Amino acid sequence: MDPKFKQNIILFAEVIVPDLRQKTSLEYSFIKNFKKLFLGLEKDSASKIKLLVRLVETLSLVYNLKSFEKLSYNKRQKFIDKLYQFPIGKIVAGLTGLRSLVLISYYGIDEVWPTIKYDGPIKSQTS
Amino acid sequence: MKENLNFDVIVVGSGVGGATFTDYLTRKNPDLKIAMIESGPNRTKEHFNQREIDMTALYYNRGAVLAKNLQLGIAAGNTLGGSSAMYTGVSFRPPKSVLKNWNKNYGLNFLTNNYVTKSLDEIEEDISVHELPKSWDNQNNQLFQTGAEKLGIPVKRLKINTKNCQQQGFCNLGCTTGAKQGTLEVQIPRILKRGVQLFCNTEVITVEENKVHVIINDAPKGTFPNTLKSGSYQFNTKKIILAAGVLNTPAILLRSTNKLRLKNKNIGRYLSLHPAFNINGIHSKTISNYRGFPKTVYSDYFSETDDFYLETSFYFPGVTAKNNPGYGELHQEVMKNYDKMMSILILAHDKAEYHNRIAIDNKGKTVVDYTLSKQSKNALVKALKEATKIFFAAGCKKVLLPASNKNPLLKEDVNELDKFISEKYLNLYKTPLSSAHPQGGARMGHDNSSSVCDIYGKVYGTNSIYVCDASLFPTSVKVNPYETIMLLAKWVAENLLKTQ
Repeated sequence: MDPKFKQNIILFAEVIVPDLRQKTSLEYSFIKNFKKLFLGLEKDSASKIKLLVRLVETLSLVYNLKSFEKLSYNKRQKFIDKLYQFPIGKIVAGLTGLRSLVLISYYGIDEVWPTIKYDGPIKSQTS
Repeated sequence: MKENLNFDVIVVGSGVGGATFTDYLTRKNPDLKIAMIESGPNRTKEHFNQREIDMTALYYNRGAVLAKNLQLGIAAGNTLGGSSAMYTGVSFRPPKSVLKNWNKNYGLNFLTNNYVTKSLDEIEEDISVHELPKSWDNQNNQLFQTGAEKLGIPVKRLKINTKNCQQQGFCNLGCTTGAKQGTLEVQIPRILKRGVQLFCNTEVITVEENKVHVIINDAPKGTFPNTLKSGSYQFNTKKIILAAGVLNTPAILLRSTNKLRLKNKNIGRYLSLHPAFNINGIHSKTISNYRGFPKTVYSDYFSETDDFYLETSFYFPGVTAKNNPGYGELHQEVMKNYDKMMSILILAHDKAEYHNRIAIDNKGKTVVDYTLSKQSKNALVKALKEATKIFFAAGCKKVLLPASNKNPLLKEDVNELDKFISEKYLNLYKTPLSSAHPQGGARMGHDNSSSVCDIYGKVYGTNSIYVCDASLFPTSVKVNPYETIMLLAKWVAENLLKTQ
């Protein structure tokens, strides 16, 4: 994953799961999980996600006159709220897809499991 | 460089259709030289680690093959054993009304009561289908019954195909103990002992009479190695059995229409998906639902009148998070109640419509061209309302829905559900609508103007090519489909043997 794409994913993810912003120690595990999912996607799906992230960057310049990475957290939140109301359904669907990847990556982190009282796999406990 | 290999029969797909077919064929004729081709890697139970992130690799596109309109994602297995490697094992016989329709309107006259009963008795015994004892009901399943009973909704017990199940609850990430009697545990070991040659990581590009053109890809790290070097091959054979699943079988036929000179306009058509929502309620007490067998009960009470089933379910943190609506602080707070979540699966019965189809793009890749009908939307909305009532009747204090103008719904909202749950709030671009039961696309029927395969599974207009998976279904079977696939696979195998 190129550094800019990775950075934008983290910025998007912090809005989806605010704890990621509070606990920066989770960032490494989050990106590791995200990368695993993203690199396992079929080429077409991965290209769509990349395109969406570029579109978010462009729309940020249009709506905020600022690049996505330079938006404050509150502005980023508002901007993503606005994107979710976007009139083009496929853009909303893309955000929903990216949201899914973020959530599966985040809640796949072992250190997050105690916060939701999930005991994790049985196999690793017994083997 | 192309290499040639010669077989009597080539079976494309190691899931329920392909493996059942091969099992029947080799029982009666063990001397046949058979190749089984699987697009996914060769993994067995030792490879399953109960971790969502890793185990999404068992599925095509990490668990969601998106429809062209991006409104629905299909979960289908891409590993040895196909979807039987990660299904829950819920075993339904096809409903009599469905079989009657297939018999009467599509000419599937072999589906007599006697044939179906005898075949399924034999199949169910072979794969250990049984009703789970009430003592196995975890709290999610108990609460579903409590809620439904309070509302006067009858509940039935599910049948499952497991042997020595340890009730770990990770069925959808692959069974680590081998308790689930899918093809990985039952048919594949048997057919390998009978000499069937297995080729994993092998994609079928096209077929023509007596020929299968494939590409063998490298085996992913951590899976069993291939027996042949990566590259292009031509496999020669007397018969070709396409059992690659609904996402692939029609696509292989579509890619092969020129070589086969097929002009059948029905290839890929009449796709049905059982569109599904998995929804959660938050109970006032702790419920450890991710342990124990996830599904023991269901209700078909609304099936005939409103076109849906309700089943119990439960998912792991990532998928649960995805299924809950919204994002940000509120979503995170909801997830902190993961240990109190009660879960219901809604399965809508969709009609098999001509415009819903498997197509291919200009590179020959599968395209799922599916639009949710008005009837299915109505079914989903009604189901969301009924499931919400069950959650609250069972003691939930909040319910989280993908199609509501209020989230979460509170108990006091239960008398005004029409105000909160409606089709106008069903934004399919935002909702996690999914499918795990694709059906149709190479429908079986006596009339070649409305079908793709004859009643023996042979593709109309071909001499050596057969279909043997859920693509054959003329309409939606309305229930979890694998027993019906096995029934048809047995039939196709029996008749192929007669022609040998």
